[in-house]
Amino acid sequence: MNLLVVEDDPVLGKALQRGLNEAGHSCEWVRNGRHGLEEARSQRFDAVVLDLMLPDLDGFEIVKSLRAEGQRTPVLMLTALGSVDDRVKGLKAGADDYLVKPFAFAELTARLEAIGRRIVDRPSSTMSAGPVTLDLTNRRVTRAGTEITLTPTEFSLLEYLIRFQGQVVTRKMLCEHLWESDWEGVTNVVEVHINRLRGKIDRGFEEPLIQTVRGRGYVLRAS
Amino acid sequence: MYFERLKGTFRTLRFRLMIWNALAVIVTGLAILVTVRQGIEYRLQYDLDRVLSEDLDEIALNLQEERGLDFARLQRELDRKARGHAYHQWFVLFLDRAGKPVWTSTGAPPLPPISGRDSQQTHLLTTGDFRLAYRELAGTRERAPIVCVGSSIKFIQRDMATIDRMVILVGMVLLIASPLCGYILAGRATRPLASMMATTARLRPAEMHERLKVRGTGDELDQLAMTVNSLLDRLADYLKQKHDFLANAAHELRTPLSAIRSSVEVALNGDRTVAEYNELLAEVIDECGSLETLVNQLLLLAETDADRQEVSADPIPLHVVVSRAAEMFQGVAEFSGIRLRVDELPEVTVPGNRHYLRQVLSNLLDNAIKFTASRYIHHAGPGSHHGNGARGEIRLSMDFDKGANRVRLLIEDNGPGIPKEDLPHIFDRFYRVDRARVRGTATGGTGLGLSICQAIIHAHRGTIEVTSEVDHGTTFVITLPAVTADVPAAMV
Repeated sequence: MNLLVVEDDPVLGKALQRGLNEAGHSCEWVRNGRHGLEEARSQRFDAVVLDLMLPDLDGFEIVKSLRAEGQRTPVLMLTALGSVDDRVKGLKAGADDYLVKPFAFAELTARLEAIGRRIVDRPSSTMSAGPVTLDLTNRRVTRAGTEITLTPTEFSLLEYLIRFQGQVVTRKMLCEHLWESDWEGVTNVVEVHINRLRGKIDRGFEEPLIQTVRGRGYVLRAS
Repeated sequence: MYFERLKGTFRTLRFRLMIWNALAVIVTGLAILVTVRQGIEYRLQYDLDRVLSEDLDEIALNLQEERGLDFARLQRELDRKARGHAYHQWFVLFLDRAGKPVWTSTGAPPLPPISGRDSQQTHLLTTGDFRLAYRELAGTRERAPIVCVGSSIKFIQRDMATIDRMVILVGMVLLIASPLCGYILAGRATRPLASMMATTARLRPAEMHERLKVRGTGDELDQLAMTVNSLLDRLADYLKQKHDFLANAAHELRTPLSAIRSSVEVALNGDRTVAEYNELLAEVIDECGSLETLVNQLLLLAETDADRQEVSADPIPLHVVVSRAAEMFQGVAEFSGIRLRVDELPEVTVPGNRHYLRQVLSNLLDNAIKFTASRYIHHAGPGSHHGNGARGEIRLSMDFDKGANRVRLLIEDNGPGIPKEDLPHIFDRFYRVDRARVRGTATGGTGLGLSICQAIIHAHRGTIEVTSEVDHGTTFVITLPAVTADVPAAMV
């Protein structure tokens, strides 16, 4: 994807640019609001990552101007303000998604792809990752032709991992996906389900599909 | 400037008390003086009238009873009496029917004719400076049938003038003395106020130890001082809490921060292999996770602080929230060898915030699972004193009291329980039952989970209580008001 990052913090901006480039996106980084608005108007970008608090023109203003001009470029807002009211305000201003700092980089890329896809995505009835195939209509799973029985939670988990295959998915993202809860506690409620899913889809096969990335989350890799 | 100060004085309580007091004293004093003066005047007049009437009666008796009376002798006697009462200017007149004097005693003043009346009643009359009592005496001397006894009223007027002078004197003393005394007394009464103001003015948020003086009289000012003192106590507590909270929060943030710093510094001290870098960076990410959790919990606590009561109220089906939470933790409970049982839940809607309520259940279930698991894992195995089949169990149940319109949610476990000395503190911020359990281990948390639960439940106008017995288990009981037909969620 061709991305524009508007972020005034030099360390975060640099990290975003490098990270997004390494994730295979082309990325332009500007450090102030006015410049950001001009760049966004050029319509060269597939999505904009927009910091809310900028020195000259804040994120709300930029989104409002863009939307007022009829621009539909997807916008993902980044902010340190995390209350429900702030989220509502951001989405009302015309942002497509809202990410609270600090965030996991994996979540940023996942969300960017989601909002980029939102426009062109067409619903499909099957998904696959390497040898694993998911039939979404009948909720059936096969690996290399062998049918595997999964609980609804496990199915939902696998569907999410396949949707973001090759990318790290954080526990928080999984928790939100499975139970609409961003709870972060000591007991790892996700890990248990991941382990069971592993037991079902990786047992007896040479190559494990689901890998743990320490401190970040899980990734499903199909060679 | 001077005028401003004067205006300030007029507005003081002392000045107003003085004015009210002076007005009250002066009005009452003057009313009493005037009443007494009028009473004396009336009494003197009345006494004079009685004396004159009696004298008249005496003359009438003399005339009626002694037929053969020597009239000239009577006249001499009357004349002598008149001379004896010269001070009061007492006199007697005998008048004809036209009111003209026929005989007058010594000292009788010239009077205008007194019209006679055809009655034997005593008449009283004031002419000029004289008071007269007269009466027609039937059957006596035809030429002068009317007898009139009179006296000067000048002595009454003299007495009244003396009394009036005294009244004016006392009135003037009142006029001057009552505001003066009022001012002094009001000053005495309001003096404690001045000391209260001085003490209050000295108070600073950082120096809240001083209190207003209670004089022990039990009057309103003492009550005021006690009320203000209790307010100060509460404020001081609140400030101390906030201060401790801030200090604790900073300390807690320091720990992961210093871990990050050390990891990075060590990494930068020399050349490392890629594997070592990976290991170090993974540790840094772990510590960032701790920081993130702590910051998020601090923010959550700030958002739900019970003092602010800002929870938005939507109708939330509590039974759904509870069963979803149970579902979320079912896997991890099973994995830890704990049976998580959910009783049949009544359908109850409560006004509140779904996100926050879910947070409460997650925190409580998380606690229940980690502590219960720690008891059974450590003691499991052959020779366990729990006997065969001893197993961790968590039970979730809910009952709805329709009458009180409150729902009660119970989270019971048979974990290790909470020691008695810790029980009163478990909702305190940053309080951990087992301080030895450090961050990042199985049971280590931020020490904020339960205070968040309490803040959220209080913001929902509910209560959260705990009962616990060591080696038997812990029960958390939450009560929340439910939505009713007449109290829609948005109103609560």
